[in-house]
Amino acid sequence: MYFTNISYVVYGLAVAAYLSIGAIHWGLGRRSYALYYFEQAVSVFIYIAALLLIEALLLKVEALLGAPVADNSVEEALRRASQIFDTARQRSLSWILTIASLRAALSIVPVTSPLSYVLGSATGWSMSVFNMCAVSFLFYMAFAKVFEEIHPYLASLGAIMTPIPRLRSIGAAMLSADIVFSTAIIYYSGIVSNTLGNIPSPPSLNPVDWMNIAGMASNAAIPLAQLLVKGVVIMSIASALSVGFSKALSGVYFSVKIGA
Amino acid sequence: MSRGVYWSAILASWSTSPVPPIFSVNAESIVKNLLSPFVDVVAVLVAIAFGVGILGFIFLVLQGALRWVVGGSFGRSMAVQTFMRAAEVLAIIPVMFFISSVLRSMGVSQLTAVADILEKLLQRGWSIIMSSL
Repeated sequence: MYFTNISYVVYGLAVAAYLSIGAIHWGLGRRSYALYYFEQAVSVFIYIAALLLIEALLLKVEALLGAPVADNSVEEALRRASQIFDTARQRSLSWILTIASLRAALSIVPVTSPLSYVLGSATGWSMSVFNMCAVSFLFYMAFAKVFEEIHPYLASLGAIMTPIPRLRSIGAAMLSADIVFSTAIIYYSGIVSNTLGNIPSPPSLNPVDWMNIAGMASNAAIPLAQLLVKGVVIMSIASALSVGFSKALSGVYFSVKIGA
Repeated sequence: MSRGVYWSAILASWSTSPVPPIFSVNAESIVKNLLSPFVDVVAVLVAIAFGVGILGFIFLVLQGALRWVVGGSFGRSMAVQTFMRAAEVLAIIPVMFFISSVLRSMGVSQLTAVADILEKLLQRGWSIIMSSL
């Protein structure tokens, strides 16, 4: 998966370079330096084995999470994830628009104007959830789109650089971020997709539904709030895993925080 | 071996490699463009390593012979040590070729691909140093 034919050339170049430097030190009588560089050449192969192990682990993760993270369909899955997040964002926006429109309609007529304040109080917390969800899913959508674009670069360059000692700190950070966050996004999009079916859409312009708009809004807000918290937890765990994974591969690291 | 022939060999090894290219062409093309100067640099580095080995061997053999001739009994003892060091210095050259054959014999497709490229670089380095000596 993470091996490309370009990778072989880079690995071959790295091994040849380290062997050559080691041989030069060996020929000059500096045996300890030579052994150090020979070890570096061997470590390239050790990290190639580590990449093979990572690939095998990703296949297991794919099976466990139902997220296609270990083949060509990663970009397609990320594209689908951004669409799912966009659907969730639009669902939140439609609720915001519906409640705001209803409050505006009630406030136009003087007799029903006080009801607008009642509705505002009753749906206040739901509106907060819808607002947070709209913003958070917008960020998740953008995050998925960004990873869809940079995934090939992170995966290829990360796999190329990780086994090479001098480039390992860069490659490990790229590889770990790509593996962990791609998996997390795809996994979370699956959860959102499954939950979206249980979130009611806002009612049409039917006065009967208006009587219970606060209850309907809360029925929509509660699963959305759960989704929001799940997203925060998943991305927090993903950040920790990315940092830990990068450190395990002797790389530098960065973390990402999105959501509410 | 000329540069064109060398690149043809590398490209041929890519096309016959058992693992196909997976990710987008753009990332690979970036790396491929970056690689071309490194191939030459590493080949020259390999040639320098071989040169150090060969010249070091000659120098140490001459030093050992000189010690053997003019050093007396103590000098002969030192000369034997110098001859051993000369053998060690020269031995690194076949060892480097041996590493690629060991990698190929392990039967892992990825290591075989790396071993093929390593051997091509070693052969190119060897041809460079042989043509210059």
